[in-house]
Amino acid sequence: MMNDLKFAFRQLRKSPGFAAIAMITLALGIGVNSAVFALINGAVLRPMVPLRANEVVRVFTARQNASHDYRQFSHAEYRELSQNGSEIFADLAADEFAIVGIGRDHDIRRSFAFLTSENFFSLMGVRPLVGRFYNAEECRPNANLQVVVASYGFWKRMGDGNDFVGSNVQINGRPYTVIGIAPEGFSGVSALVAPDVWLPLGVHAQLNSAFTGSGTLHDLDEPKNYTLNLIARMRSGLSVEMAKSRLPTLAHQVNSIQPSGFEGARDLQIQRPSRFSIANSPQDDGPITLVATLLMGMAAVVLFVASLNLANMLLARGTTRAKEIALRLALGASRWRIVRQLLFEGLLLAILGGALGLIISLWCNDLLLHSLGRLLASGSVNFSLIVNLHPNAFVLCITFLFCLIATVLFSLGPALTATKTDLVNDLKQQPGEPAGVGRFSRFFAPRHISVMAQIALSLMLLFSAGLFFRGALKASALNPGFVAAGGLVTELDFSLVKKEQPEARRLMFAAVQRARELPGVQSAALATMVPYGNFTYARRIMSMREALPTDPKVPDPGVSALFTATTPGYFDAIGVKLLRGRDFAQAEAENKDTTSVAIIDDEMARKLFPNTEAVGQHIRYTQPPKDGSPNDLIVVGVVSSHRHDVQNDTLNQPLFVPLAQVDTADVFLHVRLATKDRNAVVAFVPTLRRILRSIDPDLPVISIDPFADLLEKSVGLWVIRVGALLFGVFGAIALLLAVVGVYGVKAYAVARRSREIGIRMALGARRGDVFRLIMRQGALQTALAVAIGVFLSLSAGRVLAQILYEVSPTDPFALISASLLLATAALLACFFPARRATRVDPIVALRTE
Amino acid sequence: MIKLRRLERRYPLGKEKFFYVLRDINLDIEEGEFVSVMGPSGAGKSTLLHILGMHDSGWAGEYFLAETAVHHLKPKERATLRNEQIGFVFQQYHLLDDLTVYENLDIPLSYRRYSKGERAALVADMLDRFQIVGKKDLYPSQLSGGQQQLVGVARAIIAEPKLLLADEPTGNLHSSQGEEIMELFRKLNDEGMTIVQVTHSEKNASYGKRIIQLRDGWLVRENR
Ligand SMILES: Nc1ncnc2c1ncn2[C@@H]1O[C@H](COP(=O)(O)OP(=O)(O)O)[C@@H](O)[C@H]1O
Ligand SMILES: [Mg+2]
Repeated sequence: MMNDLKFAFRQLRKSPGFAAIAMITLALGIGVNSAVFALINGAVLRPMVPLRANEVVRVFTARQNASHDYRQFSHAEYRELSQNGSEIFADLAADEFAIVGIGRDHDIRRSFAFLTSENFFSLMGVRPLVGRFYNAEECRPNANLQVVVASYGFWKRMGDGNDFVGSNVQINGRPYTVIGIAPEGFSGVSALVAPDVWLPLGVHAQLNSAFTGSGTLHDLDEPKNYTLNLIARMRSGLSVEMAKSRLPTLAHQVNSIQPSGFEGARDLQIQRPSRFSIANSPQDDGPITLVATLLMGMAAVVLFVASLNLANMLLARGTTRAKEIALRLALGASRWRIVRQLLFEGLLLAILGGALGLIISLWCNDLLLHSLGRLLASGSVNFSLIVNLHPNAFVLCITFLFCLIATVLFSLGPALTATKTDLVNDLKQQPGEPAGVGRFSRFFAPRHISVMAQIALSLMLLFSAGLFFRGALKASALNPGFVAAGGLVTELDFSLVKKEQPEARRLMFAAVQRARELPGVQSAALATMVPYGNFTYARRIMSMREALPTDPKVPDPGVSALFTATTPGYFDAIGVKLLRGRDFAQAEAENKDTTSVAIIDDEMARKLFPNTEAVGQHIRYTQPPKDGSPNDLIVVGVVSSHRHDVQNDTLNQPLFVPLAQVDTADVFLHVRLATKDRNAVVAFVPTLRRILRSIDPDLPVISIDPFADLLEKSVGLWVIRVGALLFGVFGAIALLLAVVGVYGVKAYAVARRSREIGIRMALGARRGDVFRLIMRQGALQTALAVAIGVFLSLSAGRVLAQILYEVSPTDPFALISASLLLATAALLACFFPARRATRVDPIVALRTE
Repeated sequence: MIKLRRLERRYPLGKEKFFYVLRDINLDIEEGEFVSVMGPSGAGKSTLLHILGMHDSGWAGEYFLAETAVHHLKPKERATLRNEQIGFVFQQYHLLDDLTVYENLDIPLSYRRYSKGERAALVADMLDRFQIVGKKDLYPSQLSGGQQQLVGVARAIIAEPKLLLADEPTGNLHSSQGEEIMELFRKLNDEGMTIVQVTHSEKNASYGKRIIQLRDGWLVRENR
C-alpha cells in the first residue's frame, strides 16, 4: 500500500507537466461538484429541525371551498388544537413572523424576529446556548413581559460578550431583557436566514402597538386575530398519511369554536415545513429541489467531462508507458498488481486535484455568500445568513467520494487497456496504429468517442448557460413600465418608534410636502409598496357588475391585485402615465371618510371590464373589509401597466387606493428628481436625509436608495443572474476541458500517425492534403458530436424549462451560438495539430532504424 | 531522364561543421534505363533516392528531371512534377495498416487529378494486372510480405509514373518472393519505365543494365 503510494508519487514527479494538467482538470471537475454540493447541503439537505425532523409538520387551515382561502390561526384556535390534538400531535407550537426595530434613537436596525410559544424550542429540539428560553407565563397573551432570546448571529454581532444575557436591548422603542441565546445555526425552519431575535407570544400586542398591516386587532385573545402559524411534532410512529386521516375530526372541533360572523367551515391540513418560505398556505419547495438537482446534475456532467478528458490523457500515457508495463509483466508482475498500481496513481491524482478543487470551491462559495449577504442586507432588514458553506465532515466525505468516482471513471479503463498489451509487440515497441483496425473503427476509437462525448456534453452545458444568459439579458433589458432613473426611494417605518398613528400620519405627509418643495425635485409621493420590492401584498377584487357567489363551495371569482396605497403624484414619481381619468386628490389620501376610490392599470381594466370604459365603474373586494367599511370602490383612473417583479408576469396587475384607506406604519417615499444622472441622484441623498431629519429628528428613516439601485438588488434579478453565472461557469469549464481534450487527442493522433502522414506525402500528398486529412476527421467528429450535443441540449432544455426566465427551452439563438462556439473551439483545437502534421518530414517519418 | 550535377547533401554537425552524406554527385540516367545503386550501409543510397524522389529538398547542386531544373522549382511545382513523374517503393512496403488493399492502391490517385471513375478503373486494372483481385478487401496484415510488396509496387506505378524509385524493394523478402518482384521490374522496364533501385544483392542488380556504386557519399564507380 505505502509502497504503491510512494511509487505513484514518483511516477507523477517524473512527468510534472502531465501531473499539473491532470490535477487542474480534476480540480475543476471536483471543485465544481464540491462547491455545488456544499451549497445544496447548506441550503437543501441540512436538516432544519435538529430532533427527528421527519415528525415535524406545519399545520394550515383553508376554507372548505375551491378557492382554498388560507389564513393563519387565532390564539384560541391554537389552544383548541393543542388541547384536543393529542391524538395526532405530541406537541404543537405557534410562531409569528415580525419585523422589529432594534436599538435606540438614530441607531435603529430593522431585524427579522419570530414570536413563538414557549414550547417552540423544545418541539424543535434545541437547548439554549446560554441562559434560558422563555416560559409559559411569558407567552400568555398580553403578558407583556419584555424578555428576548437572541440568535447566535445577533449575539456575535453585538460583540459576543459574556454579560450579554441579562443586558437590555431596545426593541420597537421598549427595553427587553436578554434571557438567553439560541444555539448556533438554529433558525427555526428557514434554511437560509435566521431571525435576530426570538420573542414570547406575550408581547404580541405591545410589539404591534400602533400599527399592523391590515387591521386594528392587536389583542391575541381577540378571536378574529388570525396571526399565528402552527408547527407540530406528530406523535412518534405516526405517518403523515395517518395523521392526515385524523385531521377532519379535529377540524370539526375547531369549527365549533368559531366566533359569530363565521366565515364558513374550514379544514385542517398538514405538510412538511417549507425550508424557504413562511406562509399561511402550504408551499412547495419543489422548484428549489429541482434547481438543486439540476445544479448537481450539471456539476456531475462537468466531472464526467473532466474524467473523460483525463482518461484520454492516461490512455495516451499508457501507450508511451506500454514498454515499461510490458517489461514488468514479463518480469512476472501480475496484471492485477499493475492495474492496482495504475489505479493508485489515478487516486493520488484525484485526491491532489480534489484538494485543489476544494480550495477553489470554498473560495467560490464565499464569493456567492458574500453576494447573497450584500443583496439581502440591502433589503434593509437585518438577520443572520445561516448557510454555512465551510467544509464539514460530510462535505469532505462527499468530495472524497467524487475523487473516488473520478478515479474509477478516468483510470480504470486506461489501466485495463494498458495491461492488456501484447507482450512481444510492446517489447519491440513498433510505434503506429495497431494493424488492420480499419478507418471506421479508428474513427470510433475509445479516445475519439471520449472526445466526442466531451464535446456533446459541453455543448449541453454551454446551451444551458446560453439559456440562462438570455434570461439574464432579457431581465436586465426588461422594460418595467416605470422609470427608475432619477428616482430616490426612502423607506420610513413608524412601527419602530413610539409614535401614535395620527402623529405618524402627519409626519408622513410633512415629509412628502418638504421633499416636493426641494429644488430639483419634480414630484414626491408615498406608497405602501415599492415595485421590485421583496414584500408584496395582494387582494382579490372583482367588478361590481358580477354578483358575489353565495355558495361557499364556488371558487373565489376575483382577480388577484397587487395592493398599493398611495398619495397623489405617485404615478409621476415612479414615471407611470395616467392614461385616463384622474389621480387621487389630496383629500382622498388624507381623509379616510371620503368616497372610496381606486386606480387600476390598463391590463387590469381590460381584465375586469373587457368591453367598457373602466373609469367610473365600481369594483369590490371578494373578501370584504373586516372593519365593516363599505365594500365599493369607484375606479377614477387608469394608468399604464408596469411590472412589480422580474420573475412573475402574473403579479403585474395592481390596485391603487388612497393612502388614508390603510393603516400602515411602513411607507416608501418616492422622490423624482429633474435629473436622471445617477451621480446627481446619489449626491441628493444627504440633502434629502437632512431635510427629513429637520422635520423630526426621530423620523424612522430606514434607507434612502436610488430607485435604480433597488431594482438591481431585486432578489428575482439576483436569482436569474446567479443562475446565469453558475451555469456560465459550468459551461466555460466544460468548454475549456473539451478544447483541451480535443487538442490533446488530435496532437496525440498526429504524433501516432506521423508514419502514415510521411507515407502519404511520399505518395503524393501535399501539405494541404495532409491538413485536410486531419481536419476532416476532426470536423466530422465535431459535427457528429455537435449533433448529439444538440439532441442532449434539447433534452436538457425540457428539464430546464421550468426554471427558465422568459426564454424558450429550444431557444435557437442559444442553440446556434453554443454550437458555433463549441464547433469553432473544437476546430481550432484541431487546427494546431493539423498544421503540425503538415510539417512532418517524410524522410524522418519513414526512417525505421 | 535524370541529370545530376555537383549534387551535395550534408547535415550540420555542431557549429560550422557538416557531415556530408552525398558529395559532388554527377550522374546521367537515360529514359528507359534500369539502374541499380549499390554500396555499404550508410553510404547514402537512400538519401540519394529520396532526393531523386523529391522527398528531401535540403540538397545543393543541380538536378534535372526530364529537362526540368528541379533546383529552380518552388516546393509546389516540385510536388506537381513529382506526382506526374515518380513512383516510390519502400523496403518496409509502408502500406497503411488500416486501409484495405484497394484503398491503399487508391491513395496516390487521390492526390492526383483523376476523376472517381478513372480511379476505380485504374485500381481495377492494377488489381487485375497483379492478380490480387481476390485480396482487394484484405488489410495489409492479412497478406504475406511478398504480397504486401506486390501491393507496394502496384501502388507506386498506379499513377503511371515515368520513373520508378525503389529503396531495397526486396530487402525484407525471401529470395523467391524477391525474384517475383525483380521479374516485375524487368517487365516494367521493358514496357519503357525508367527504374532506379537500391539493392544489396548482386543478383538483383543483375536485372538492371547498369550499377552505380556509392561509398561514403562518393559515387565511386559505374559499371555499364
Ligand atoms: N537527418 C540526418 N541527420 C544526420 N545524418 C543523417 C541523417 N539522415 C541520414 N544521415 C546519415 O547519412 C548517412 C547515409 O544514410 P542513408 O542514405 O540512409 O544510407 P544507406 O546507404 O544505408 O541507405 C548515414 O550515415 C546516416 O547516418
Ligand atoms: Mg538505406
